[in-house]
Amino acid sequence: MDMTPLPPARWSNELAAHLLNRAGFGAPPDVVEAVFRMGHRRAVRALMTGELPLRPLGGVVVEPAWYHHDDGKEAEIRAEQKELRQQKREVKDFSAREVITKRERELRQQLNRMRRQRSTEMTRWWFETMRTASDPLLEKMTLFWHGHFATSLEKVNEPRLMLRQNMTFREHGMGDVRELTRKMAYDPAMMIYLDIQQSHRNKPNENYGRELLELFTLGEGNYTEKDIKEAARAFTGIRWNRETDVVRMNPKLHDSEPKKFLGEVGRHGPDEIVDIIFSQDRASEFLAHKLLRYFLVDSPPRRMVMALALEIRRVKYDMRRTLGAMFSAEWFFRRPYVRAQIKSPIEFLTQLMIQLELGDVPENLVMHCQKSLGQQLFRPPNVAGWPGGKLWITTDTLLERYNIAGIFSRAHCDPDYAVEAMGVVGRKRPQLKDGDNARRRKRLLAQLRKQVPRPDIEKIAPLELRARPDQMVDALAQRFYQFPMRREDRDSFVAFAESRVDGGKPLAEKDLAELVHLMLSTPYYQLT
Amino acid sequence: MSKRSSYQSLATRRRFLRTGLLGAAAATSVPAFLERTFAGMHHAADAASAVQGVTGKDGTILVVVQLAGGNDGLNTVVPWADDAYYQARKKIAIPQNQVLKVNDQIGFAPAVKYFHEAFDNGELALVQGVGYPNPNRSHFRSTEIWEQATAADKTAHTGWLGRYFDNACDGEDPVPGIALTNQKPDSFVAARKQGITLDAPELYKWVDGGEGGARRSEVFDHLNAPDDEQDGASTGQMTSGVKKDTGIHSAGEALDFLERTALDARLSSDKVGEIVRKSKSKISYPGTPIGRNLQLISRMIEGGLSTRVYYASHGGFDTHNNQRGAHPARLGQLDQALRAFFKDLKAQGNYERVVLMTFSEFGRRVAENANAGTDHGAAAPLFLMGGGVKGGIVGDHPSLTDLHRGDLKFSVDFRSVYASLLEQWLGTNSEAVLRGKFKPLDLIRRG
Repeated sequence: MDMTPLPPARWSNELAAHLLNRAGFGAPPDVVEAVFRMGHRRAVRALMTGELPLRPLGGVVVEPAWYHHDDGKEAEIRAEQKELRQQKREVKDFSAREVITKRERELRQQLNRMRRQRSTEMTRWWFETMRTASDPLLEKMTLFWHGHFATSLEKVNEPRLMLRQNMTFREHGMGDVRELTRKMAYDPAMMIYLDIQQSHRNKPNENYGRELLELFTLGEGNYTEKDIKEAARAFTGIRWNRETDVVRMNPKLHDSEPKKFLGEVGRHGPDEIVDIIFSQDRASEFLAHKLLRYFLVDSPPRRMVMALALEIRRVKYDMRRTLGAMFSAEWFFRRPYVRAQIKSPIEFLTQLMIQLELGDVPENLVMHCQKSLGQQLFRPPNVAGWPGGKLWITTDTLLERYNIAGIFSRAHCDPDYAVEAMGVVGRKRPQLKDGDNARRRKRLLAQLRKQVPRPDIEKIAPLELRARPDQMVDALAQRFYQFPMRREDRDSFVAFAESRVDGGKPLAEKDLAELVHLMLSTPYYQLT
Repeated sequence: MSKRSSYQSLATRRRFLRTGLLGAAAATSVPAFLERTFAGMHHAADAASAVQGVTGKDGTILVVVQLAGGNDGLNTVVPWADDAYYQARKKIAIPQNQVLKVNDQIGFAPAVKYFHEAFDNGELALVQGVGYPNPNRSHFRSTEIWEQATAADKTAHTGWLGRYFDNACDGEDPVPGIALTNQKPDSFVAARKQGITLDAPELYKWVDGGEGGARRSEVFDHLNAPDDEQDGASTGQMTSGVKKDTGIHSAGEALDFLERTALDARLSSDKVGEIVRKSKSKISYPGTPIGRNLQLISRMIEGGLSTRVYYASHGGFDTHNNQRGAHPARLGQLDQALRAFFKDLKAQGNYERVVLMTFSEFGRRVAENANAGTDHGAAAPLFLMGGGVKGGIVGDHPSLTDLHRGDLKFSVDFRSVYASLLEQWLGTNSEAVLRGKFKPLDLIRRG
């Protein structure tokens, strides 16, 4: 296997859809057609430069203002907290202490509220950016790095730091992977998440060293426990200063003694460790495997991994060139890989919304859908990122996907579900008790209906098509599946549509919604 | 069972279901166990009559609680008489006067009061120094080893509970196991019988619009069932090329898996929803996630689900820093949830049917780190509770000075604990499930 490009004669509308689904978040049928007409080579080039002829949905999404201009609120709260701690040490009087304790609690709650709000804002920002992206590959790659160098708000706790890391992924994620990896040891979110922030010459913390080798670069079995210990020594002494927001190496806390790492002896610091790692061919194989799992297939054949790894080394770890070669390669478009990968929740949601031509989606729904499907941006389950593949799908998450499709296609909504979807974002699940008054449920249902944006029916199924069930079903299948259905499934959909067509009149909006919901409530729709 | 015949049984199942759904008489001769199993599916009143081959609603039940992150064994079961413990943990050791003493060597942390009471009443088995050879310190790998029940240098494609479902849970019940997690645990991964995973039972259903529902749910059911019209041709055996007379290329394994999950989801959702709506617990539980999940499990048990294995997870045990506050808090949440759970089971009269096991991927290092926390270690205690448990201590507390790379040495292989549960509690041959011989321990009370 090598990197031979796809012969131009094999390029087709279906393969254009495949490219857009895998390298981005899918597209409506007219965009797929336009990309097909560009030809494969031009399409890949446009993908690399973010110049695909995508139809923008909604407005421009701007990152939260607090990212650039810290309004100082957090610092203010912190300063007061510090002062209170000081006072507490001096005050002996019980009732005065009570007052301080009460104020401390208030401040803690304030801070938590603010952080929750901010994490919601930035989650929505990134999700909407993906959904409306003019540069979908950059977004998809940023998501790749987020799952690869996984850190979570659960531990980092500070939205601003997570957002800063996200910006680093955008800035360097298409460039030299070695440089991005070097940067991670100095990234405050990562430093907090894997305890670099506290790793000290006299007591090296092994957390970062271990994960760097196991999950970020070489994979299990390609290093020893001793290598982890030596790497941990090299990563001691890097500190992020909260007040000044500066990261630097503190030589007093750093272990600069000689180390023996992967056989090489020297006074290795953080960057030398990364360089030694990337001098091993194994690092390129590990990365190739991970890229293929993300973009193409759950268990990529070894020969394919080796071909891509060779390419990675050939272009000296340049991500843009690596991806360009991968999206050109003939094997990327082989039949068994087309529409055979289980969509991640983010892919499911973005594709669904793009295919339904939806406008703005309110933030609480964005949060709810991510949480209930098991992929919350900025909150991967652990340092290994999202395991993906079949693990996205359980009986529970599958039903949830069907129900979310029902909400957005406007086919139905159940009051219980509305209570849930409109519920508090975060840990609290509104408990549905019997006798939970019907009025409240009705109100929530109405609110939800109001919130959900309407699909653009005229684009999805123009009026003249709605009177012709078989053609309508084919058009919808083209839109949602981009691939022929099983004949009997098609027959089912056509029969259903016919049962609702009233004497040659076009299908009513509600019936169309139900038909769409049925087409989305299938195992097949979960594939991309 | 060959792949082919397993699909045939799916097909049979579905033919029965479909006819059942459409209100027609069951056309083909339906095996009796199928009839029993699905009698309850669309007539909830009969749900209680659903019986699994080896299950039965009076059968024994195993509840597995994962302590995710690596629970610090030494601050759960404290070797209070050992000076080495206080030397190694100057900041985070639990003072002698706070330990809930069990004997002149060890005692429980003050956070786990219920554990201590249960131990005193002979209702808790404490298994000391549980681990496995060549311990791995990665969370993921070690969790995988525990959940797949493999040797440290092997990986399997299935989990130990999944293999139990495959091997011992006959019948066509889709719910031999229920995990109350939002991700399927590795231990549930099976070749055929996956068990189900659910997060909020109230919402565990396919919501359709109501009017015109009959026709729609018929279409839905048809779409969400591996197809049997073509002699099994599209259930995914054909993993390449073009499917018979349809022109669609096969998405192979992924589609096959999705179709099976869809069928399980459809079959189990009515049942679970019905039971959860029907039963009410009278005992109040703490409002923590683990409290809520144990409450759900008790409601499912009370509702007469034929499920054999329940699984819940309680996280936050990766205490690399400032362990003093965090660790007791997490243990306390578990302790209070378990107190309510067992009180509830006793009130229901189901206490004798249940054994609960905790597990964690590893313990922590003996010595604390510079951040008043502990790093990943190896062996740690494991607990069994419930009506079927033979209370007491199994094994010796590991030495704090005779270490393996700075870690406690294990004396009990966790697979021996599994073997005991499989053989003596779930009544099945453990060798087939664990893919090896492990000597059971003396953990279960004999009737």
